[in-house]
Amino acid sequence: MSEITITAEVRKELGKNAKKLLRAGKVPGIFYGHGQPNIPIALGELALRPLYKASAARIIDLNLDDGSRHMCILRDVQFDPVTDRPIHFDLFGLSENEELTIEVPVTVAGTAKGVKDGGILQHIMHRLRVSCLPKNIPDRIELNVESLEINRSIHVRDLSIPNVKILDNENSTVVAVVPPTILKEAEAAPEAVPTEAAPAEPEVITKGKKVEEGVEETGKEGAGTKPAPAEKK
Amino acid sequence: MLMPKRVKYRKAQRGRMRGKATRGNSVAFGDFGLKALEPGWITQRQIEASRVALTRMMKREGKVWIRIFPDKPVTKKPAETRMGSGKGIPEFWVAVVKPGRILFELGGVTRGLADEAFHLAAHKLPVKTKVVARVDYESH
Repeated sequence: MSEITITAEVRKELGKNAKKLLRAGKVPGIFYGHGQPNIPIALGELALRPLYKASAARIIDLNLDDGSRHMCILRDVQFDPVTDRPIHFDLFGLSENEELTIEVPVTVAGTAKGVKDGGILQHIMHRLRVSCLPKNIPDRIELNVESLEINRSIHVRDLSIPNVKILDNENSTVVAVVPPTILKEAEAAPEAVPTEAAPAEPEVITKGKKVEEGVEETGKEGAGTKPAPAEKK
Repeated sequence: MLMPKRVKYRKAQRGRMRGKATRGNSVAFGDFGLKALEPGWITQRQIEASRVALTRMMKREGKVWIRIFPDKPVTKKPAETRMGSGKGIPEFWVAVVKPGRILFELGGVTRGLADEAFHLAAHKLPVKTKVVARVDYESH
């Protein structure tokens, strides 16, 4: 498993004061681990980017400005929903002999046979939750899909990685090749356009529901019939 | 066009659209997404028009996900009606969108094709948008 070294500072701005760091181009974060102290830290936004943009799980060698050194993994990153800039991150300290749960990226290698025949490759699970010792964490789970035909898929149960336990449901589909159904939709689309021109349908369905649901309501809704006089001008 | 099959109440109050999207704000299914940058109501017709634009642009490639659903009824009074006499009749359905919401997603296409398709779809929508990629997509 690849390693990356980062240097961060221990931050004194806690709670809402941590927003000051964001204005200064730094991202507040926290380091924690089993039996390890919680350390609030801050890291430059650009220095953080390689950690979450990576398509490989990495062990982080964290050097703090107080001289301490920790081995950890990136557990979580929070982003601003509009700007997509990171606003907080969590680093999880590792213990050599303790198993941990981590999400490992799944990548696809090769072009599927089904895709060459006109199918569409659907990459359904981009990450898998695995449990293993820190030394056994795989960089990524690479799937060779070259032999995958149309209507065939790879499930979690088909994967096996030495010394690693996959925690996701074994029946979940990771990658599948599906036939190109969009062609039919494209044909249907021009027909759908004229139906759009008749927009009265939503009301009909709503009224239909009303009749089903609201047999009582019609009794109650003496007021429901009253709005009709609205036509009186 | 999209609309609920069953509803508990036929009419709804307008409500307010304060704050940012706290859910549905990251690309979850495909590789690229169209993200709203403003709050607004997106009608069922606008969603359908955008969907048609996306699927036509992509032809046989890739897959489209619609991440919003118009579940709010909007009422209107008939033309030339005096005020009063109760709330109008439901006319159409809208999805309430807050800034940061992912509206559509595309998978199995290149970044260039996704940009072009989203460009066409965005012209059918009443809010400003931007194209975003899945967080770990760049390095694939």
